[in-house]
Amino acid sequence: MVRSRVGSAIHMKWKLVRGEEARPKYVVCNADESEPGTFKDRVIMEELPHLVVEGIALGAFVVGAEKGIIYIRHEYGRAKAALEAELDRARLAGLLGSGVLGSDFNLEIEIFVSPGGYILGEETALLEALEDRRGEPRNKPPFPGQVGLRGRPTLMNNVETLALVPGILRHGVSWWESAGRDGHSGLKFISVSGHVERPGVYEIPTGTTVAELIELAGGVSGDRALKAFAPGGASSNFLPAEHADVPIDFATIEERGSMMGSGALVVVAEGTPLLPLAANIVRFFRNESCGKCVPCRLGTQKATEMIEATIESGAPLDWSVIRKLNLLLGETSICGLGYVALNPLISVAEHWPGEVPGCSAEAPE
Amino acid sequence: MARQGRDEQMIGLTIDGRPVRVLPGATIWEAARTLGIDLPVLCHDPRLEPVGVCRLCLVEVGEPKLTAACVRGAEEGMEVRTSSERLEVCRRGLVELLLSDYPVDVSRLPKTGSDALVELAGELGADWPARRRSGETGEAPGSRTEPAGGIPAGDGRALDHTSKVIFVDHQACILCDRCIRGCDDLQVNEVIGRTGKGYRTRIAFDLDVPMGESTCVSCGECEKVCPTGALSLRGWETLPEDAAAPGVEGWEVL
Repeated sequence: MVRSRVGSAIHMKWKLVRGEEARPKYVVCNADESEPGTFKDRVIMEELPHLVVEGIALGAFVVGAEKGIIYIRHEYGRAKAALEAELDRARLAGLLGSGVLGSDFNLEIEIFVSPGGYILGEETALLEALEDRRGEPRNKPPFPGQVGLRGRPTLMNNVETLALVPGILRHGVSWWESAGRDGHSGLKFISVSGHVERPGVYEIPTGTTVAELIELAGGVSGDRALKAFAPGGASSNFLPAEHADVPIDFATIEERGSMMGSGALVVVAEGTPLLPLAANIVRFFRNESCGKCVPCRLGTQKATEMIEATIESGAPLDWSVIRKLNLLLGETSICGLGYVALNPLISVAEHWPGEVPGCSAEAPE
Repeated sequence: MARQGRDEQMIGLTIDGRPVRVLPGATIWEAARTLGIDLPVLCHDPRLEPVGVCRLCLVEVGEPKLTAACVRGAEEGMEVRTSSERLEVCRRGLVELLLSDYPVDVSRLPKTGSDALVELAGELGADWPARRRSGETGEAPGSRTEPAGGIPAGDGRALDHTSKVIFVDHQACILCDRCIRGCDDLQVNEVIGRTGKGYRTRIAFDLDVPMGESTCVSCGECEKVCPTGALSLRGWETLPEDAAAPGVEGWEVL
C-alpha cells in the first residue's frame, strides 16, 4: 500500500475527493516544509521538480480538479525557481493549460509563497492563509477533502507523496512494494541531521534500520556513541540508543513509542544533555503557536517558563503541572501543534529521568 | 405535507442517553440546549458564529478526540456524552490555565454582577485564590495575577483607558473572539481584530491604536458580549489613581 507523509493511504484521500460533487475542486501541494530537522522536500523540489509537477497533474486528473497550487515555504527560493522552470517547460510541452495533450482536461498550476510560519504547514491553517486570513487551523471536521479551499473539495498532499506517484504508476505497485526490505513496502526520503558525519537527505528502502541509516550518514560524529534519536522531527518522541535497531517504517517506529512524523532523523551523541534540547523544542512550539485556542496559546508558554526556570536554577520541575499541561494540550487543542508540543520533553523524562530535576523514574505517565 | 417533509429531514442523536431530534445544520451545543443541557462556554454566544477556541464545550462523540460542541454539527445516530471525569479534568484545567493569567482583582464583577470566567472557576472547583478587591486585602498586591492549579502566573499586559466609554484590561482578555465578532458581524463597525501571535496575541483596534484613538463609535457591543473583565463600561474606579489624564499603561510591555 502506498503511504503518504503521515502514513495514511494516499488512495483513500484521492478517492474521497474524487467522489465529491461540488465544483470547482483544487489540488494543493503542501510544500511548507517547516518541521525542525526536515529538508527532504526542499531537495526533491530542487532536484526532481518534474516529479512534483507530474504528481500534481495526476492528482488533479484523478479527482477532477482544474487548478493546482504549490504552497511553498518562503525561504525556499531555489526550490521555487526550479518549480517555475519546470512549470514553464510543462506549459510549452502542452502538459498544462487548456486541453492537456489534446484531451478535454484543463489544468493550471500556480505557486503561492507562504507568508511564513510553521503553523501554516497545518493543512487548514494553510487554507486560511490561501484565503488571505490569519493562518490559524480550522476546527475539524469538516476535512479539506470535503470542505477545503474556498469551501470546495481540496486534495492536499505533501511534496514527497506527490513526487512518488508517477514512478508507482509507471512501474506498478509490485515494483513499489518490492522496493522495501524485509517485508516493508516502498522507499522513503529521510532528512538526517544532528551528530552525524554526513547530514543530508537519504532515500532508503523502508525496513532499513536507524543504525544502518546512521552508518550511511557516516556514523555518529566525533567517534562518539549514540545516545538518542528522534525518528520523525521535532515533534516525535526521543528514543534511546538501544532502539536503533528499529526498522524505519510507520508502524515499526510507532511500536517503539515514537513516530515517522516528517521523516527527519535527528541524531544525538553521547555527552549531550537532553533537557536543554527538549526545552529548545518546546520553546519552538511556543513561538510557533498561532494563539487561536486556549490550551496551546497558554500551555506552551507556561511549560516553556517552567522548563527554563528549572534549567536556570536547577530547581525541580513540578511534574504534576507538566503532566496536566500535557494532558490539556493533547486532549483539547485544535490541531497537531498543540497535541505534540510537550512530547519531546515527556519522552526525555521517560527515558532519562535523571536529566529532568523533579522527575523520578515512575513520574511520567 | 410540508411539515412531514421537515420531520423526515430531522437528525436524530442521543445526548447523555437522551434522544433528541434537530434540524440539519444544528450544532451539538444547540441540540444539548433543547434538552436543557447547558454546556459551559466562554467563546460562544448564540448570536455569533461559533469559533470553538475556548474548548470548554468539548464533548465525547465516540471518536478518539474530543470535539467542540459549539462548532460540531449534529450527525444522525451520534452518541454524545457531555460529562465524564475526562471532560471535567479538561474543563477545570482549561479554566485554571486562563486564571493563571487573570487579574485576581477584576473590574467587571462589581459593575455587572457577572464574570463568566470567575463563575466557571467556582462551578468547576478550580484551584485559584479567592477574589479580592482593592482595599479589602489591606495592601496592594504586588502582581495582579496569581498561580492557578500550580500553573505559574503571567502578568504585565496593558490597561487602555483612552476610550471615554470602555475600559480595556488586556490582562483580563482570554481571546474568546466575542468582541471581534460583536463589532464586525453584529454591529458591522469592524474596528476590533487580533494582532500578534501565540502567547502574544491580543485584541487590537483598527491598525493597533489605543481604543480612544480608533474609529470606535462607542456602541458598547464589545462590552456587552465580553465574558470577562477585559472590556467594561468605564467608571471613576477604573481610572488608575496616579493617572490624571487618560492613556495607555504598559503598552510597550506587549
